[in-house]
Amino acid sequence: MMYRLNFVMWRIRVVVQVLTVYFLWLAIFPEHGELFGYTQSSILTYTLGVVILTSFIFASRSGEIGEEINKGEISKYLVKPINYLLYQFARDMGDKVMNILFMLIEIMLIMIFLHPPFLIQSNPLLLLFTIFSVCIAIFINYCINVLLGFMGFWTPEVWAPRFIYFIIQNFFTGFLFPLDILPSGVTYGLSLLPFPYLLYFPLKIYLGQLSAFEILMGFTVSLLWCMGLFYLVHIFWLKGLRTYGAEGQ
Amino acid sequence: MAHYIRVYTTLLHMNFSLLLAYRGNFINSLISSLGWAIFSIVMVYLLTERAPVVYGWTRNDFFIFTGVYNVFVGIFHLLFSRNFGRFSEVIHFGYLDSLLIKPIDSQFLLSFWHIDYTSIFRIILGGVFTAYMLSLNNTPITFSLFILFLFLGCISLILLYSIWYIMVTLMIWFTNLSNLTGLLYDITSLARYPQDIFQKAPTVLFVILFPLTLVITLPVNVLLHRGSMQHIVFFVFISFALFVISRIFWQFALRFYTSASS
Repeated sequence: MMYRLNFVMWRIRVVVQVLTVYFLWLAIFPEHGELFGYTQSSILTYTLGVVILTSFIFASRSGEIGEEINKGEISKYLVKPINYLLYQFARDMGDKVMNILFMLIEIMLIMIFLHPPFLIQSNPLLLLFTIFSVCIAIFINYCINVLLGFMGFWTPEVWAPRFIYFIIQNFFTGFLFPLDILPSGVTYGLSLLPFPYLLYFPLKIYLGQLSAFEILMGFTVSLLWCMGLFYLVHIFWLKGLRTYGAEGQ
Repeated sequence: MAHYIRVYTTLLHMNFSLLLAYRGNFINSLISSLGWAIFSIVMVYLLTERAPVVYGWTRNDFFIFTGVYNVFVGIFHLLFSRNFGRFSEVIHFGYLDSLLIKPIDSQFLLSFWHIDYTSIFRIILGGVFTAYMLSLNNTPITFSLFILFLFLGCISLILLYSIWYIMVTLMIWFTNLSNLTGLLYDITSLARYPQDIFQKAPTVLFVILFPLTLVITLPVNVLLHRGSMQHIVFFVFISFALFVISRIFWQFALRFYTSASS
């Protein structure tokens, strides 16, 4: 009962965070006309899209890797004939399924009570690109979580970098606001980092607000980050295992 | 009363020593605290660049509101946040036993044990920013207005503390509700914007959130010469009522505390 309540609390948190932003946009954006290149319906669609994609992308158990390493609990996985990283990824997917189920209920309740002007994308190609970008986002977030967890091989203080990543998640992924409301130089600089490809890029594709060139560039950068992060995961996993002392076991 | 002041002074010294011993934690907290303060100001700057008036709030009004919010949240984090954050651990692992046997009120010890000194920087940043924006806005601040503003600020603190304490008391029954403090942080963040923003919220939601939305809105409205006596009286009444409820609920909940073989 306690853990289920904890989970429900987490889902309520996501909804409260998004509702705060939702009402802010509702107050600021005119019912007719545009602001920052967004209409009221597109910005509200973006905000609700954040609720939907958060369940797909940020719902994860791989944040526990650091603690498992510190407590020596990964030893039981190392002696088994399974790939630890694949196991963690599979565990993540299971966690996402549960979060998606609850997300669907939340979206239904928001639709019933608030009647938001949600834009439905009818272009099948853009929908396909959105799904593909979400898959990339899931992989990037998984790699970042794993790398942060690997710090447990070298330090017991795993919460501090995780906390900084939490702040980055809020500011630079498009969670609180679309990144293109920032000055163009800042938006361009951020587009070279992996964070905008977690939420902002998939939602911009869905809203049909990116040109073909911008979509291509976005996929190129995000796939490069996928390869780079995967390589780093592989390197640090091997280095970490050499120093692993299985303390506590 | 003198006894409590002596105990609190000791706690202040103890926490200062901890701050000096764990400098890594200090740096992390400082970055986080100032980061959120600066982010809130930048957010208002961006949002009001092309929407200069929102429900009667001008850009300068928003800036003053944000400055006051940062001061208020800074004080809340300074005094209470860390204590609420460890509630789950204190109750789940039975550390509450050692607090209950002490000859001092347990709610006092639980609420004031830790002090987050890094929040002082957020308070200073918010205070300086608010003063600057008030001077830019040419808002006349009389001594009596300032005292009323401080009084309402204290009432806001009591209201927020009471709501938090009532909610975390539920951990006596649900000891593993570690996400509850996170939820409370998110609900408290509703106070970041003026109450008028939530006019379009469904009535049920608006009524539930109404006291929280007044936490910053009311003191700032008073500062900007827009305060309503009706709201002030309601606000003071609800704050003290919730504080009394938090005390009664805590004493009631302690009857169900079963410890953890400490």
